[in-house]
Amino acid sequence: MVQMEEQILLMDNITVIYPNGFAANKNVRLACNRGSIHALLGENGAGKTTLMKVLFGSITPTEGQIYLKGKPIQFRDSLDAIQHGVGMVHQHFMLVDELTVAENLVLGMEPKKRGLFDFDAAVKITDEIAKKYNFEIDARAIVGDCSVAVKQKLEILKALLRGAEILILDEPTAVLTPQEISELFVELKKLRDMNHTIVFISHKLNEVKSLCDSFTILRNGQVVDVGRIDDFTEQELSNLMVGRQVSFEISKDAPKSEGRELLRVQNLHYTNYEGKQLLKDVSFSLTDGRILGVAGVEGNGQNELSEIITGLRRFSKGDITIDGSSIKNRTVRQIRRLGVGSISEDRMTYGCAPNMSVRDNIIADRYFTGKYSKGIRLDIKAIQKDTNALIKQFDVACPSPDSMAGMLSGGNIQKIIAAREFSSDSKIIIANQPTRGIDVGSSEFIHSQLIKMTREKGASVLLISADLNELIKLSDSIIVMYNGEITAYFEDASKVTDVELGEYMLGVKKMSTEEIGRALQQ
Amino acid sequence: MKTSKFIVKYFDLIRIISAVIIGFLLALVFLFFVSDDPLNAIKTFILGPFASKRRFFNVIELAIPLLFTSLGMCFMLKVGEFNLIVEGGFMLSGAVVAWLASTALPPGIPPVIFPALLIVVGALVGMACGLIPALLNIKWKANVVVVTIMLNYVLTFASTYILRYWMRDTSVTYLGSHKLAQNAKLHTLLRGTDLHTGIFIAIAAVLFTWWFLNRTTKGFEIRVTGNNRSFAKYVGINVASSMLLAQMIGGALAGVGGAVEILGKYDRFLWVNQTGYGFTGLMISVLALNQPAAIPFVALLFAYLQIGANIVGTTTDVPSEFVMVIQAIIILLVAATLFMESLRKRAVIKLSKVEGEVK
Repeated sequence: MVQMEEQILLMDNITVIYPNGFAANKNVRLACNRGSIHALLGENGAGKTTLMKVLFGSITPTEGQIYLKGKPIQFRDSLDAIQHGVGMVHQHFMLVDELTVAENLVLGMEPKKRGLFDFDAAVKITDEIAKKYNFEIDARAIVGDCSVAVKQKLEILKALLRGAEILILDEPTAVLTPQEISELFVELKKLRDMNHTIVFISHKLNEVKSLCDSFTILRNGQVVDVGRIDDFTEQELSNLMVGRQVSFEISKDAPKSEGRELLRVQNLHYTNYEGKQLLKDVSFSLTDGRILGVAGVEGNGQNELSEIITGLRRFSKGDITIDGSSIKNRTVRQIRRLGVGSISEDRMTYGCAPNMSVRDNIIADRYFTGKYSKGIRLDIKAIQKDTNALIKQFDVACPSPDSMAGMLSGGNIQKIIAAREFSSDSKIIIANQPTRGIDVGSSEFIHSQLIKMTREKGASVLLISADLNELIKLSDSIIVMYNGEITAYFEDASKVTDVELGEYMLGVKKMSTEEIGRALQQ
Repeated sequence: MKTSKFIVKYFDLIRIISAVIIGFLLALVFLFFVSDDPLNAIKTFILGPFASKRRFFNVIELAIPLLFTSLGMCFMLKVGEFNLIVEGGFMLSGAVVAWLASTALPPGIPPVIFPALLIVVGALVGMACGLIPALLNIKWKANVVVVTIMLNYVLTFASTYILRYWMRDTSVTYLGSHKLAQNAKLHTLLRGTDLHTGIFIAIAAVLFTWWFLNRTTKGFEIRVTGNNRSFAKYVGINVASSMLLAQMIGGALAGVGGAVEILGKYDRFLWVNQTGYGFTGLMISVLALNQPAAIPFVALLFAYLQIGANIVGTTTDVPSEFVMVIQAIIILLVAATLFMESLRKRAVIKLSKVEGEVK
């Protein structure tokens, strides 16, 4: 129990305006009590991460003041923040993959013996602190071989070792399976009972409900509500977060499949240039009008699979056919011409040219077709006409079709990508994390478009997603990938639970070869 | 509110004009220190290029080679490669064309056909020069900057080799080629000036560059490749071929520039050092933000500065090299992306606050 309500952290009247004019935080106030878990809620782009960057000293606020234990303070940089007892666990881990857990933990404060690094002492330190906080971790393991959950534990221990009283966790559960999440929550509650303060950033309300004590909700950079978690229902919280009534349900009709096999992946193997085998004997087929979900912890071969099907990587063994024709030795453009559209997981790297106009971004896959060019001459009129229509149809909010794509929000960039990939008569859409990091409105839009593509146009969708909720609700069938292999196949996605998927994602369970073999149409 | 909007909208232009003004002012301060008669030097520098018809057209004549090299650089930078071969390509093309026009080819080839042929040869020479670093880069990942800086020396010495061993006129006391055939030369347009028909080729080159980059499929591929190579691959653009194409065209433009310059302004080939037009072209392209439509204006500005400096150098006690000070300051300020950023930031903050209140 909390002995006394001591306000350990107060961020008062914080305003942050980015150089591009975007006001990420407007007069935000955030207060946390010692020994509590405080949820910072909000949609993607609501300003949560910006606020935490301000706290951590990576951004200087345009206005506002931070008080730590009642004293005004402004951290110069993250090092300064750590020295004052503020620790942060980022979404992307800051670890050296080649070193051991113990070495990573003591990095920057290494124990020495006769001027040399003392590995045994480092292991001892690791074991001691792990025991103190009741974390299970192998000090001698190489970080690169550890699971995401272990890496995250290590990050938390790193902060604790450096004396963090306030721990900021930025969407820590995004990369974890349901089993790992419950384990993490037990550990976090223990930390709270040891009088640590935790700021828990998330937009997953069921998790927040089960873990946190109090909350602050941000929407469009402003605080919309503050309170105790117990006083609100999940639905109320989500309405506050989004600013309108949201339905958690995705409505879709039963698939109208003619049984035509649009994508067939057979005995696919892929070994990267370092000789590491990343895909082992992957086989599945996808018929028209259906959505096939691919579940798996990130880095288990899903990205390689999507890059191979779109032609960005060459596979070593096996075969892939698109509507009957093999894609072996075909270029990206030839594969696209066969009717493959794709949404990449990395929007800014593969999805758009940020310094080119919205219009150029939309036509980037079709500018050379007879409809938009004669010889090498571009038909600007035709391009303008069609792109204007697409911008309207896909509801891209941009000042003009000539605005640079990079100036728009993540959700709008994703809509530009959708406008390009969904409008080119694709038979197959490879959607890799299509709604990652975008606001609820835009994700709903992308979901409805994916359903429309399959239900109305008879296309198939291969949906790769780390969001199990999205995966179960959108997909007709689901395969699970673990360590480059398919370890499970669920014919009917509506009969699967996330916990069940989690067991296969972690490699705890594996289906028999016959059961997995059903994924491939004979 | 209105000023804030204006600042945000035209920020790039404001920034560049400010850089030019600051460069000018600092150069004037500099003149005060080095000259015994600074007021006269300043006056000569600013008004000198307009003092006579000949001088005025000198500015335009100088802008011609600068246009070719800066358009060449524009292609390189558009595809995202810092390929500096325009410097060496310009010079080698000039040497090869001079050799053909003075020694290798019969002087009897008819007037219009002769220079047209030579300009095509110049383009091919430039294209080959652009191809070398591009191929080394694509095939073996050789750094284009390093390769072109070194290769520029090779091309410079290749040019002087051609001059010394293939076309040197031993009857003159200085190091120069035989006279170029009269039929090979580009016509002078205006009596009393050296303005030649090359100006039309330069204008055509500007239009071509704008049209090619903005209105053709190949130009589109070049822009996408330069903007985001991963994205270009992902939408199915052949990245290697658009890199090659851009650098070949960039080299070709430099080559045409070298040919036009030799055929328009010289009786004999006289270059023994790098001309510097390539590097000035780089500055122009950067200052014009790689916009083909802006390049002519910036090229004229640089030509005006250089001619003004030349006049100062010959008529006052200040050496003409002081113009480098201005150029350096301008480029420094433009290249420093944070220069005047606080002005923009303030305007942006003001704007977004006002917008917030409206909502």
